[in-house]
Amino acid sequence: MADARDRARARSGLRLVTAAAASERSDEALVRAFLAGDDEAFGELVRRHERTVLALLKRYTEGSPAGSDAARDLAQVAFVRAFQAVRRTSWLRAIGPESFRAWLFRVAVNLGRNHARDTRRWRRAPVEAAEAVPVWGVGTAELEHAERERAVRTAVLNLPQRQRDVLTLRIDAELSFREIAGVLGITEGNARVHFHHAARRLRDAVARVEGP
Amino acid sequence: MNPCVELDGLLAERASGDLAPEDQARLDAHLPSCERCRAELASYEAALDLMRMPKGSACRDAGVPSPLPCGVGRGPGRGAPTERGREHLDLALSTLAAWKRHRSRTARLALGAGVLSVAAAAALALAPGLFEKRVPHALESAAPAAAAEPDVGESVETSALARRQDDEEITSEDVALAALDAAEQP
Repeated sequence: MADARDRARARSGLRLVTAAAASERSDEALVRAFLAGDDEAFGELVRRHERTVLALLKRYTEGSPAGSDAARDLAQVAFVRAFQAVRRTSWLRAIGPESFRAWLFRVAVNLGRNHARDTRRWRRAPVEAAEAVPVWGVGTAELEHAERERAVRTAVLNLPQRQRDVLTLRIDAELSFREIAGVLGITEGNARVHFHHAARRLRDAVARVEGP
Repeated sequence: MNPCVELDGLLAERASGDLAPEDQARLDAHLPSCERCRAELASYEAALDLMRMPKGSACRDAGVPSPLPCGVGRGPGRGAPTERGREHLDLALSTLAAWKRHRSRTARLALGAGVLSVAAAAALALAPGLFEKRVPHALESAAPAAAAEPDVGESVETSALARRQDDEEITSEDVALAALDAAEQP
């Protein structure tokens, strides 16, 4: 299995880029290299942003039958669509207000939102709880911590769409409220209000687990 | 208005780490004197921390969002950073493969569009001949409408021209034959 992976890696010409080398090139430089046919730049862009894209999509796919597989599939689609858009449009000329990162996250949020909507269409019951994670060999404190995390994840799943978008972009993607406003096409003040409501629901969810 | 109620939204923003400087100053002035707001801030921070992936953990570095602190509660043989690292690379590989598939599909479509364009250009090159062949039919179909009010002189000219080659001169013989044609018409 590992041999097959290595062969695939050799065929594609894709190599792991060290963290030091990665920090030397900006996203924009990598996009330019990719447009010039550099597959390694493509791989580096994926590697650099995949954690965040996966984290974003996990917020929308959690609780769906496909689970984390759906998040990975959607992440792949998000990257391909973002690259398609980069190649099709004069994005490099109009790069000013929006970075590749914000562009990619916008694609990911839209995909996640569509996936959540389609999943809900086939499953009438609301999301009751995030999937429980099996726990081995841990103490009471860890179990309580896991329970609180589960309550928070469930609360995120049940947030209204816009609040969930803002919350995940702020916490998972670590975008500023100004960037979030640009990604979602809303005002910065609106983004802050949505975030406030979402954070309050999360806080209340934790309070319910902890009890009076 | 109670300042604590007014500042509640700012507490959540502060907990997330993105607060406008002027709001930051308002909170900094208020918090030391308000135990309730300090407790609220702590509860927001706790809730948002539970949502965040643990920073600097093996899971985070390997690119795997985890609902639990990395290494806690994972079954035997699961969550080893090296294996996660492989999965991490696999996504880059599979995405690259998907991109290459998309690119070759696009190239095939472009080739098909090119072939269609050439075919369309060839058809256009032939079209004038086809069009010219259709003109007399069009004139013929228009003729009955024009003949609603018979005009012998006009019909003589039309029938004579219909039988003539393009570059030939109209002779007196042609005019006579056209007159005979007109006389034979009911």
